[in-house]
Amino acid sequence: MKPADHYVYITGTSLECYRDLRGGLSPVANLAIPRQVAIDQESLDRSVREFEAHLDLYALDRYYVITDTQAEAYQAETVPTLSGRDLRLLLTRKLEQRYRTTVYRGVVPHRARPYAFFRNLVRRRPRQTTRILYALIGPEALAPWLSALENRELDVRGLYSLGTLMPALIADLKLPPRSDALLVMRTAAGYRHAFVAPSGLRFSRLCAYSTAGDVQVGQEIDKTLQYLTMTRLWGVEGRHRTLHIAVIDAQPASAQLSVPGNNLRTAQLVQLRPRDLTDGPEALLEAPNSAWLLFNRAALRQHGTGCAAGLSLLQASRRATQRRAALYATAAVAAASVGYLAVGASGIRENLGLAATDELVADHLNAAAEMSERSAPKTELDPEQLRAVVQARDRLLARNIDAGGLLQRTAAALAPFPSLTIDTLEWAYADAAAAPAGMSGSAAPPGRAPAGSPGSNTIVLHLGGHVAGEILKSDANAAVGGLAAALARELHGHPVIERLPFDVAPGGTLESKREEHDGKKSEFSVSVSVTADPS
Amino acid sequence: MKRSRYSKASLRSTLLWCAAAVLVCGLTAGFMNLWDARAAHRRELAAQGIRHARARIEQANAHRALIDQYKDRYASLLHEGLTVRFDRSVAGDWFDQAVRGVRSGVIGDYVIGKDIPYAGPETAQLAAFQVISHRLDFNATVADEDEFADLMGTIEKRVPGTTAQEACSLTRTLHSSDAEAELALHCSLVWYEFRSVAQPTVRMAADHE
Repeated sequence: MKPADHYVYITGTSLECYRDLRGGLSPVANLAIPRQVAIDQESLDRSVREFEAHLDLYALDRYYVITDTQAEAYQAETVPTLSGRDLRLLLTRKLEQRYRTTVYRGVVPHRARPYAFFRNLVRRRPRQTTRILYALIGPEALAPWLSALENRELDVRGLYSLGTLMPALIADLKLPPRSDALLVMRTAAGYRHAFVAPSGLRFSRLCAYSTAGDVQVGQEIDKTLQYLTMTRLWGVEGRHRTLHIAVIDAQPASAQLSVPGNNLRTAQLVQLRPRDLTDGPEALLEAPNSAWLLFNRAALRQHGTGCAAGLSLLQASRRATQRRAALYATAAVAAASVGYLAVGASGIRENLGLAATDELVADHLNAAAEMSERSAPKTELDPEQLRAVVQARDRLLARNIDAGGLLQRTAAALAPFPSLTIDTLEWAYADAAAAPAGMSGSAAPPGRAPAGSPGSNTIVLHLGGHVAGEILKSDANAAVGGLAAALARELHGHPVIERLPFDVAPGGTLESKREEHDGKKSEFSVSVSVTADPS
Repeated sequence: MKRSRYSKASLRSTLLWCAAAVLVCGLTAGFMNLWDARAAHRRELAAQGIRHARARIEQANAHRALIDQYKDRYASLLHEGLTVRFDRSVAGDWFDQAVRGVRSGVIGDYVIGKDIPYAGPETAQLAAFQVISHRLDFNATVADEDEFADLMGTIEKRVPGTTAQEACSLTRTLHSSDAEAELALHCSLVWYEFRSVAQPTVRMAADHE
C-alpha cells in the first residue's frame, strides 16, 4: 500500500483516524474510548486491539497524533531574549521544572514581530520575551495508543494538541493583519477555544459538551473573555484592539450569539461553516466535528514534532528518515552509475569500432607494404647503401682539384701587381697542408695526410714570392695585401698574409742593407683557405 | 506482528543493501573504466599499427625510388671495376701508361704510398664498403704553366679508377746555365678503393683499363 499521511485524533471518548489520500482526507477508523478506564478495562483493551489491527493495515503511513482533551496545561513564561540555542535550553529546563508528571510537553510556536529587536532598543524596554509552554497532563490516557504506535515501530512524525494547531485557521479567516482573534471550533470533544495574538497562540481550552444546549457556545465565549481579561491577555490598557471572534461549526445552534462588551472591549463575532473556509469531502464538511480542518501539513508546518520531542516514540521516524536518505543516496549513486555506464559503454563501443576499423586499415596497409616490398627489384645492397656508394664515389671524384683553373684564377689575381713575382705555388687539402710541408729531393708530396685521418673539405692555397723592381717598401707591403685580397675574391676564400716583404709587426725589426738594392729579394708569402663544395 | 520496515534490524539490512548496491555500482564503474581503458589502448595500438604500416609503405616506396635511381649507376660502377682490389704494380702500370705520351724527361720519380683508410664527409653514410686511399706522389719538371696544365689534364683523363689530384707544389727554378726558368712539380694523385666490409673483394684484373 502506498504510504500516506495518517492523522490519529484522540479525544477523551474516541479515537479517530484519517488518511490523507489523493482524493482528500477520509476517515478510516473510529474507536470508542471508555470514560472510566478503571471499571471498563475490557472495553479499552478491545479498542486498543482494534487500533493495533488498524495500524497493521497501514504500517507504511506517516502518523501524526493530535489530541483534543481537557488534560492540557498552558503557561506563559517571560524569559530574557537569548540566542536560539540558549533560549531552547532555557525553555526545555523550564518545561521540565513545570511539568514533572508528563513527558508530553512543548513550546507553542512564537511569531516574532517584525523588527522586534530594534523596536525594543528604541523603547528601552528590558529585553524579554514571552513564550507559551504547554503540556498534555494526562499521559496515562494516551499511553495505550502511543505504546501501540511505538511497539509497531511506525513512522510517527509528531504529537500535537489541537489547540496549538488552531492559529493555522487565521490564514483562512482573512482577518486584518496584527489583530487578536478568539477561535471557537466545534470538535468531537466539545468546543475548542483558542486565543491567538499576532505573536501566536496565547491560550486554549476545551469546553466539553454540557446540558446548556444552544446557549452553551455564548456562555463559554463569555467565560473565556472573562479569563482573558483577568489574565490581562486582552482588554487591558494598551491592548484594546478589536477582538475577532470566529465560531466554526458545521451545525450551528439556532440561538443568536451575542458578545458582551464595552467601550474598551470591542469584539466582532462571525459564525462560519467549514465549507466557508476550505474545500473537502462532503461527509466531513457536514460532520459536527470540524477538527479535520487542521489535519494537514500546512497546520503542522511550524510545530516540528510537537510535544513529543526527544521521546522514543519518534525513533522509528528517525530511522525512517535515515532509511529514506540512504535509499535516495543509493538511488542517486545508482543513477550516476547508470549514467556513467551509458556514457562509458558508448565510449567503449566507439573506441572498439574505431579500433576495429583501424586494425583493418593497418592490415590493408601492411599487405600493401608487403606487396610493395616483394615487388621491389632485388639488389645485393641495401637501397640506402646503393645511394651511398654512388654518391660517395661522385664526391670522391669531386675532390680532384682543377690545376688549370686554379692557375688561371691565381694569374688573374696577380695581374694588377706586376712588382710581385711568384716563386712557389702550392695547394692541398687542409689535412695534407697541416702535415709538415716541404719537399725533399726525392718524391715527397707537398703534404702527406696522416694515416686514418678524416678527409677535409678545405683547400689551402699557399703562394710565396718576392718583390721585384724598385718600389717603396710600403707599396710592396700594400701590394702583397692587395694580392691576398684579390686571391680571396677570385677563389671565394679566406686570406692570410703569412709574411710581408717588410716586417711591420710590433715585435719585429726592419733592417735596410745596401745589398737589397743590389738584387737581394724581399720575400713574402700568402695563403688562402677555400672551402670545397661537399656536394 | 509483522516486523516494521522502520525497525533497527530493517534499517541495518537496508543500509547493508545500500552499501552493497553502492559497492556494486563502484565495481561496475571500475570495470567499465577498465574496459574503456582497454578499448582505448586497443585503438591506440591500431592507430600505431597504421602509422607503422604507412611508414613501411613509405620506406618501401623510398627504397623503390632509390633502387630505380641508383641501381643502374651502381651496376655501371661495378662494371667499371669500382670494387676491384687495388694493386700497386697495376697502378704503377696505369700511371706509366698514362704519361707515356708526355715529353721525355718531364716525369721524374714517383712513389705509391701504403694503404690508408679514408674517412671523410663524402663517405659518412657508406656502411657497406670501406674506402681505402692510395696516394701516388710524383716529381716532374715542366717548362711553363701551360705544359703543367696539359700534364695534369693528361693524368686526369688517362689514369683509370676513382682518382683525384689533391695536392701540388710548383716551384720556379733558375738554372745558372740556362737563363730560362723551369717549374719543378711535386704533385699527389689519390686512388680511392671501395673495399667490401662483408664480402672478400675480387683481385684487380691486371689487364683492366
